[in-house]
Amino acid sequence: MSDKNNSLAGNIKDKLAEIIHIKDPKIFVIEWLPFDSNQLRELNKKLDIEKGSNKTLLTGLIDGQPNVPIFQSKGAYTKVIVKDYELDSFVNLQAIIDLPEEEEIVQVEEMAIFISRDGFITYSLELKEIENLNTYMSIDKITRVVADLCQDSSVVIDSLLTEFQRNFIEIIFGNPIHRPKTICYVGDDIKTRHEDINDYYDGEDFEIELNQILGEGHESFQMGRNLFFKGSRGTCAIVDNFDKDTEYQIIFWGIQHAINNFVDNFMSRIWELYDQTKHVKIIVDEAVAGNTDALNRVQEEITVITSTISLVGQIKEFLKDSCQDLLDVYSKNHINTLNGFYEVENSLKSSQKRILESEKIISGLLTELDGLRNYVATLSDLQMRKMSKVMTKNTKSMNEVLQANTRTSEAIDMIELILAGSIILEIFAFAVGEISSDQTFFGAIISGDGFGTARIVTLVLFLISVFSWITIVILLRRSKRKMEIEALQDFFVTMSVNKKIDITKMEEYISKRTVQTKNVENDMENIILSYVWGGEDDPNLLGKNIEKVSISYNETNSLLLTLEIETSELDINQDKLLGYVLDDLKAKEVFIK
Amino acid sequence: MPFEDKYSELSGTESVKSLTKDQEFLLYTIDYLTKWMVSNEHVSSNIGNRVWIKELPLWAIIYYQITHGSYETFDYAPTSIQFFGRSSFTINLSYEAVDDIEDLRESDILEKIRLSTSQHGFVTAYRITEIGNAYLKNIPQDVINEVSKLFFCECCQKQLHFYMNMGDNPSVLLDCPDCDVSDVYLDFLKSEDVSYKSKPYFLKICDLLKR
Repeated sequence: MSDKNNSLAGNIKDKLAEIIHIKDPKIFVIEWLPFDSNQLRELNKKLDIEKGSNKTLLTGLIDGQPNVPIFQSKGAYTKVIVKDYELDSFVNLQAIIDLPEEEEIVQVEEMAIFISRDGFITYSLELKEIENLNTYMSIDKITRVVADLCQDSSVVIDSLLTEFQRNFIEIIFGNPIHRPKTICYVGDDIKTRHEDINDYYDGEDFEIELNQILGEGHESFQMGRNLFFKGSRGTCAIVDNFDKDTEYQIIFWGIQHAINNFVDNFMSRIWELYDQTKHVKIIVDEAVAGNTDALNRVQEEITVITSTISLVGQIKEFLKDSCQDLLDVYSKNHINTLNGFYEVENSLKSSQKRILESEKIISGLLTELDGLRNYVATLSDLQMRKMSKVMTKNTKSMNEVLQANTRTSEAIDMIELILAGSIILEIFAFAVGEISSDQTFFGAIISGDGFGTARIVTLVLFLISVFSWITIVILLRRSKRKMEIEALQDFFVTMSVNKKIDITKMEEYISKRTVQTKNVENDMENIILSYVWGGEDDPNLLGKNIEKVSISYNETNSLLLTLEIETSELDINQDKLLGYVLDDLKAKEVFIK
Repeated sequence: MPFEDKYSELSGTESVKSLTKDQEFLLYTIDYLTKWMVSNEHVSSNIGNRVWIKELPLWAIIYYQITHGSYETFDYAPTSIQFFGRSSFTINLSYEAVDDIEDLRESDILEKIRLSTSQHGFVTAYRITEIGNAYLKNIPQDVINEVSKLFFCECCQKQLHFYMNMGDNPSVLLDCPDCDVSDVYLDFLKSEDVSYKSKPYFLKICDLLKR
């Protein structure tokens, strides 16, 4: 560790102990994203390449107001100049990034972006100056540039990706902007040069600074004055002459590192989906125990997980193709590996193997989820059947209650008659007083006493009272009926038929009706079909006061199960109502004799 | 080696000298944080040495201390890490602190544990060993005062609370339960900017990847 020797720079809150300085640093940020010819073509179209324009401003903003004639930008965009391209193979861009920074910060951020249809994206730049340092630049400050670069590169590429690709990124990394990338640093020289590369591994300042850019536990390789370091985050090379061959070695190593990085995250997501599937099994157990909420939840979860696994399966295909393409390019060009230090081929083959192995897990998960889905569907059917049985039972109970009510109603009718008589007698008694005679009216006639005026009056009063009684009874019944009809909109008459039928003729019979609802219950052994049609649409039921006809039959056993008639008329005899339909069925020879 | 032997080594003057001031500060910070987090999280204090401090909050506090000039030799650099095996974050990590933690582990003063996360990542946590606890008895009072003063409200002198949210809008906060005066949002998750100029570097490798 060293003393604090530098002044504050930018908005850094601490004095930095800057140990390693690299001359003319070049930075390569590499990542792998799912791409193919179609995605690349789409990207190139976005860049307006075909129109020959080579300067386009890009923004991540979306036009959400297609009818508004103007668009207002927020000053956060990237100017892109296309340097070279093949429509569905690659594109090489120059990007000038203009993203808002703090007031005192001046960043002239220009980089090259290479995007291949294999999914390799390289953001590369050469640092000209950091905080007034323009030849040797400290690793402490370079890491701050890299942090900025990693974030800005995600913002720039995000505006070029399709929604399809953004979905993939979100599935694998969660946050589309913050995702791991491989960083390669190349310098022409190092300020404090040790003749032996192992001297940088002092367990103190030098090693700590190398940890900062490479991650802990890095390796090194020396070839003359050229120094190479590689670790879990990337690589750093100090080379006298950064020629084409050295670039190939470093960038190819970076590419395989980036793809490995992606595969690591890809596998983590698969294991996560495996855990989620395990969780689904727990919810299924709850559903089996009768928790209806769990049944609804599990169906939703299975759908979500299955859709994510399908997308992961698509990513796997992109990875597979990309690995193979890269292996072909690599082996065709016989790239030097610096005594295996920048080994690429075996690493790519290992990635390829991991991707292939993931296939087994993905297909296993899909099969398992399919099984769970079927199991849940059966559970759901059983639940429905249980509900249907409860409904039938309830309907039966309702009918019984209805019959009891009818009987009660008849009893009330009788009471009503008696009551009406009592009322009218009471009225007469009140109006004319009580009439008493030593003889009855008929006794007087038999005895030959004849009709006296009083008796005639009595007779007339008697007749009037009987007439009034009848009138009151009729009025009471009418008003009661009117109230009943108002209270009961429709009346149902149900009959369990259980008769053998000719299925073809039944189907033909139903086909001539305007069916309102059809329900099929399939419980592996029986298929129960239920139809409902309106009475007004049935030519044979016109004027019969039938609102609806419901029929259900067992297709497997050719058995007519139930017939239900819905009517608004209470006066019509129930058998007569059912008879209209049954007679019609008989006439059409639906029943088998 | 039995604890007594190790402690007898550590209790000598030479053993005390074997830790640098920053390492002593770091060790006491870990001890302080472990006890502080236990009270923060309302965990029973009877759980003895079963409490481990996770490295992310530890790094956040070390960053807070560095920005208050607590360490002589520590600085920090933006580093990308994956939290909980998923989203990647840039944190201001002190590699000097990471190195000293390793040194403390090598001296059997600290123990490290790795645990899996539900999203198939890994989390590292640390705790002080019995040797470390024995060492703590010899920590100078000025270190104790220096460490603890940063965790008390300047206004009401109440102990601050530590909050860490690594969700969609990640933040790390030291908050006073009674007044808002001492609320400090740590810029632990914000990379500091430097002014720089760059020019594009066009790769030659593009020729190989063209079809």
